[in-house]
Amino acid sequence: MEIYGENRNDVDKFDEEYLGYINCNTTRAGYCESKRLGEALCNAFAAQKGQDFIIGRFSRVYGPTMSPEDSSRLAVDRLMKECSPEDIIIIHDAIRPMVSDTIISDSIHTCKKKGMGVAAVTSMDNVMMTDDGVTGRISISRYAFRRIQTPQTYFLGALKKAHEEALEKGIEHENDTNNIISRLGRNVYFSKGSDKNLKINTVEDVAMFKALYAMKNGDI
Amino acid sequence: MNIALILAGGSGSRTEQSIPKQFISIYEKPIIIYTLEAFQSHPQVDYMIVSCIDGWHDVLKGYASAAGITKLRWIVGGGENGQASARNALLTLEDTCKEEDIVIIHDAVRPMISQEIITDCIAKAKQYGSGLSAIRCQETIMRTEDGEAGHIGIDRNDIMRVQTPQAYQYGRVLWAHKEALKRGITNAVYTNTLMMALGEELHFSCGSNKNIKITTLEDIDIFKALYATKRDAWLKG
Repeated sequence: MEIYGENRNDVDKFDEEYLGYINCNTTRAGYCESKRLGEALCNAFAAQKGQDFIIGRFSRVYGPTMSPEDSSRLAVDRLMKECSPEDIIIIHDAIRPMVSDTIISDSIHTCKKKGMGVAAVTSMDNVMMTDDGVTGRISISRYAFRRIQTPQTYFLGALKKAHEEALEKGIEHENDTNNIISRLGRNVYFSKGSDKNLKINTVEDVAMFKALYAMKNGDI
Repeated sequence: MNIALILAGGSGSRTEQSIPKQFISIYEKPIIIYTLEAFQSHPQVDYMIVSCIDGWHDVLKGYASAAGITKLRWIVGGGENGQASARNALLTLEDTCKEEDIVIIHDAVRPMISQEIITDCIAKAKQYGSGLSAIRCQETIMRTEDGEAGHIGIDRNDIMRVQTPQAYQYGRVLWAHKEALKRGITNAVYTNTLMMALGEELHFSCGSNKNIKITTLEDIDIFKALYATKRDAWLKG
């Protein structure tokens, strides 16, 4: 996809012949230019050696090696083409199926009021610090932190700016948008979360989900 | 000897129900009875002592008897807070327990306690002096000062969420409670908090995110749901 470069504002849609603008004075330019170089080399090789070839241009590739941070950033880029910066984006884990109407509403409401709404819950357990998960000797107040969930709701324009700033500042390997925002030096505003809004990671979680879902449906 | 010390002194103000939450019935059985049944079934548990809210001792006796909780040997008064309830029970055991006996302190309102969790906390307590059932935090966490906004500054790998049961060698935990009073520590929510205030290092044992504490009405829903599917799984064999 990046072979096309930026729209020069002379077309509404690209076709495969389109050649957009690539600013070679950016760190990303090498990636886009190398795709053009690759295709040019295929053509040259074919001309010289008579080698047959097919070029495939993948638009989006999702798979095990794709980082959540990249998939988030690329989704935001895609949305910027269809939506406006004032539109509200609700980011949510697919593996949190028990999210309730109240949680979604509060996330959106908090975003409108404070610029973002990140679902969060207080730990009900007592909490200890540990180096190794085997022993501990220091406690920490459960009110001193929050467990972060999704949905996380942001204005599209703010999301786009945050991803750009993060790229510029070399902030890498942050899977969670709330952590990106915080590493850029900004507050992360909490909205309603719930222990029922569980993330399904383990077989135990599946059992808990089945139980909660059956209850929600009135089966038990 | 291994003795379960069940904390049932709370009044349940956060569920906003008129009866203490440990006596709320789910499928016609009070929550505390589910908890006592788990210890009754465990082959390593010899006896139980319950620190119980005033006015409910006879009710507890009746339910326990009907449910066949033969290991329940003492019911003592709860105290003004969790620390006092635990201390009352520990002092009652002075004539019965030896230093190396194990006391398993557990919330009455954690009825989903499993046999494995009980086994592991006893094993850790015998080996290291303490076994605190605990789990890792599975989510990202953020520091907060006001509860409205957060920032990075704490890693989930640096913390453990500590539950009950908490098993201790009797001699050590009795000493800790007496020492805490001497030093003017009177409002430690749990025994582990008290022991850390005295500078003790504690060992973690097996916990579970199913081992929920019933604090709110939502928690009652979660328990009902968990219990029903557990029961259905058993029925289907």
